[in-house]
Parts: sequence; structure tokens; C-alpha cells
Amino acid sequence: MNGPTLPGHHPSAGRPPAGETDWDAIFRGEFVRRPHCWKTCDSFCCKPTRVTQHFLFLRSRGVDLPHLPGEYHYLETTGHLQAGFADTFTRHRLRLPNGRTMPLYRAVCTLDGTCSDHRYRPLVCRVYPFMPVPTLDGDLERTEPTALIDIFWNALETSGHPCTITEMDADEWDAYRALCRELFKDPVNILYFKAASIYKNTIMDSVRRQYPELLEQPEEIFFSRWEKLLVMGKLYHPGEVLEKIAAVCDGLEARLGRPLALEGT
Amino acid sequence: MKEASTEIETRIRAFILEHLDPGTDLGFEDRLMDRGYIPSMQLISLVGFLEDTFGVEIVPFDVTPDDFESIATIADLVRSLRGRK
Repeated sequence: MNGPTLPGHHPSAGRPPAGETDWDAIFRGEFVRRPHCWKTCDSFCCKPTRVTQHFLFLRSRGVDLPHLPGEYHYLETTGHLQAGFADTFTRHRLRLPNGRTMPLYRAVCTLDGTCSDHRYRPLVCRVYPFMPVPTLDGDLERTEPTALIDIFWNALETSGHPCTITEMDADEWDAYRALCRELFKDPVNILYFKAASIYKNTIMDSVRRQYPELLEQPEEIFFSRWEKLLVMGKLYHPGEVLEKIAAVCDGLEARLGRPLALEGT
Repeated sequence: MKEASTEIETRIRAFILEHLDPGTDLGFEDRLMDRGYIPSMQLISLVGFLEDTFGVEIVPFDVTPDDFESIATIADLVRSLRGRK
């Protein structure tokens, strides 16, 4: 599944937006409006057991759901954290080599598609399957597959991605882009989305470079071997990924002329 | 000089306490995976530590979660890999 071609690109004036994201607006809107799509794929994005059943180290049931710090605090303060996984949140700190720290809020969802309050499902679910990748200026540069496992399906020679949402029409993209503009008003959100893209593509590039023969395997063999390579640290060096993310952080801060408002830094 | 049998365990325990933030005391036999001490991202750090510190190479397809069940089993893995060299 590739990111689709985006119609009508309207770049900004060259400086990143330095405002705050209106989370009410984000959660009122819909990035991808396909209310019944789950009927066509057995809720793959909520219940990716077709892949995770092959894992030994990673979670074989449930979905890791990273939340942006602003998103997490909005949902928490408004009482809209999903009842089914509100108590599963963990907070880790990603320490960048430039001295900055990115908090990572992650929940584990085992609801299998039965959100307690669908209107307030997490952002990562709302954008699925088209994860936005912004420029440093906060424009929508492209989209790419949302989850780490998704990015490999297009490269696998033996399987097609189960998700049936492959394209949106121009009006839908307009709505998607409007929400991205709101989301990327806060440059902290730009950093997180670019960091996610760096992480995924570093791993993808590593598989293509070091283990191209894996991509010729059936999906069950691919994902069982891929998992072990990943968790044993053979697909990327954390230090290299952190250097790339720090460079994005430095670039954003240079454009802003001030430090990003990152928690814990 | 060969390290004392608990030296490996002690160094592994120190790494986990310092870098993986288990948030509690940790015995050599405590189950790491079940208690959620080692999320996947941090397992990568632990593997890097083992390879750098003890001079072993962990081959992904030769290990299972059982090898990372506790500090004691991780230390056994290190000793086993050293014995192959």
C-alpha cells in the first residue's frame, strides 16, 4: 500500500506554524471517513492478528497506540481516554543527542475494534491508513502507511495489504488536509510525525539493504523473522535514528528561533 | 580471568535498573517479559549491551523469549554464547 497522490498542494510561506493545535477541532473532524470499512477487512487495523500471530517477542494480541503529548493531555483532561485501555498507558522518554527529550505515551488496545467512545479514538486510528508526513513548515508533504508493519506490505511480493481503503476523493482530501493544517499548527506535532516516518523508513531501508531475500517470503515467514531481527536490534541502530530525529528538532527550532515546548526537557 | 558466576548477573541487573527503568527492585529469577520490564524497544538496548559488554553475538533466529525470561536466563545465554567461541 503506497501513500496516494495528493491533489492540490498549497505550501505555506516558509516558516513553521508556532501556534497551538485545537484538539477539539481535531476530534470533531474525521481524517478518513469510512464508517463501515471494518466489514471488508475483518477490522485489520484494530485486530492485526493475521500478522501478530507470528510474533514471539512482540505483543501477539492488541495494538500499540502511541499518542502525541498534546493529544494525551487533551483526552485525559476532558475525560475521553478510552475506557478499554486508559489504564494501559506507559510514558517513556526518548532522549535525543541534542539534549532534548521527547515523552512517548503509549497505550495497548485490545478492544478489537469496539472503542468505548469512537468519537474520541486516538489520532493514529483516525488517520489510518494514511499517516501524514509534514514538511518542517507544517505542510502536508505526503502520506505513508500508518503502522510499522504496514510499510512492508507493498514490498512483500507474496501478499496484498488487507486494508481496503486505497484512495480518497478530492473532497475527502480537502477535509484531510484541513485537519492536518490544524494538527501541524503545533511544531511539536510536526516533530513527532516526522520522527515516526524516520523510524519506519529506517527499518524499511535496512530490510531492503540487508535482507532483501526476506521480502520474497510468504508473510508468515517474513513477519516471524522480521520480528526477531527487529527486537534483536539488527534492523536499526537507535543512536542513528535518534540523530536523524534530533536533526529535525534542530531544524524546527532554528526556524522557530526558540526551543520547542517539549515536556521534560 | 573467568568472571564469577554472579558477575554476569550483577552487570545485567545493573544495566536493567539503570536503563530500562523497571521501577522496582529486581531479583535474578524475576520474570522480565511477563512483568513488562522489557518492551521491545528496550530489548534492543539490552541486546546491544550484552553484545558490547560480554563480546558475544546474539543471532536473532537462535533465541527465544525464554532466553530473556529473567536475569538468570539472560546470563545463561551469555555463558552459552561465550562457550561457543
